[in-house]
Amino acid sequence: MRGVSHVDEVRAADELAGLGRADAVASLFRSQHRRLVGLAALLVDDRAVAEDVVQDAFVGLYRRWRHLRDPNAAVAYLNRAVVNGGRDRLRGGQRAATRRLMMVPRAETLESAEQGAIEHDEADRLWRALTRLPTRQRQVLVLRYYLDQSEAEIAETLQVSPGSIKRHASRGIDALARSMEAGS
Amino acid sequence: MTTSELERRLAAVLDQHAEDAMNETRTDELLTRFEADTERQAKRRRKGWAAGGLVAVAAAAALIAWLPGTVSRDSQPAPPAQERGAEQTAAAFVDAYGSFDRERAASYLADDAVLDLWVDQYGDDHWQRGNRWLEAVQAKFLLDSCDTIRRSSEGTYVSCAYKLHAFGSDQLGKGPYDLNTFSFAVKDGKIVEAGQVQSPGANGFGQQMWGPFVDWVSKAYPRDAAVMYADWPVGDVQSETPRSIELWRKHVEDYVETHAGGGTG
Repeated sequence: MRGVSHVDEVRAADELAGLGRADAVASLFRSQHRRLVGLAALLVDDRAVAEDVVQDAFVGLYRRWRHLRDPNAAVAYLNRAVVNGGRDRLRGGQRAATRRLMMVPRAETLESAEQGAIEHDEADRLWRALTRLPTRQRQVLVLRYYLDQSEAEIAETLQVSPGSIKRHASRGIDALARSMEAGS
Repeated sequence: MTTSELERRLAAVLDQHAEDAMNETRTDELLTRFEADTERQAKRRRKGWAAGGLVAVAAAAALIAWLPGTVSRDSQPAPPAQERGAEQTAAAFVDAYGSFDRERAASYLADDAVLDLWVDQYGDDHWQRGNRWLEAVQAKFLLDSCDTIRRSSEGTYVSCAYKLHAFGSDQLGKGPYDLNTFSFAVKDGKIVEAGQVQSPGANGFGQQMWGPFVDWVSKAYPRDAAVMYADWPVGDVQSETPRSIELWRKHVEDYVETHAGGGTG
């Protein structure tokens, strides 16, 4: 899983053991914040909103600290809070105004200006198609293809059954394929 | 484009988009803001405890303060009234929502409030359905506290942590289940946005209550179960039609009665 490996979790647990709440949460903030902003940015349509979602997740963690079993539970809590917080903001945002970050292709991946323009256009269309998916499908695809989570891990993060994860993933990929077909 | 090619491109797009956001964020700066916010909240909470624990002393001091020239007033600044008001509004809403007093809860909401409370499969206008369902499953909200997270031109953002009993967990010796949060945006004394984060996996509710109830009702009342869940046979999402809510009410009562003595039903 790209987000947090088991080794990372064990290391985090070792590092956090014995720290007070403020120091432990600050330590987690330093180690997890950047990653969580990246994750949140895929679940909402604005980096500033993504930062707010992550900030809220850490506030929640700080308040719940004494109730957590161990630091591994803290990381799981943060992941879940970001996914759920992203959902809440997305739904609110969709009713207000939609602002989307545009894709900027990496220079080293461009073989030519023309090829770059095509890839940029495709990447942009794919991103826009993703943002139009139902929230649950978008969450599942982000957790599957960005965090490389298994169906069981996604089910745990979203608190739904593994069977429904397979269904959401399949429908999401089909919808993206149709969008790309329609645009080509 | 093949499915595997689409998956590869999707992974690349997600990587790039996340990388852009990660490169732009300023972790150190936001950590400083986070620490300042939590320290400010901790000070306020300490003040609150002190005030609560020293009511008699405070009352005496207040009396003395009326005597001109005898006692100086506390020079420590009070929390901004706007934050206190927002927290009170949020707590009052949670109280009404948890008491299933939907009319009173609605009185705290702005006309165009954006709501995502508990369930929203029928849309924001039907948060009352979700509340009726919660009433049917014997939900009990144990509010911890409501604290201001931040303020902006869009309102004051308040987070309310609570523990939850439901499906008769309190009668079955389970729970209460922690790690749940209401979040509100309050502006001009009204709630303009409300949402929730629950942790049924981390806090054990899913394993101890939701899952066993699905198993039980699917065996004991398979035809009713198909009405009670919107995604049957998966069993992740409850249906909130009047008919299904009535079935939830009846079968949660049955479930508690069957299991209260330690029976397996």
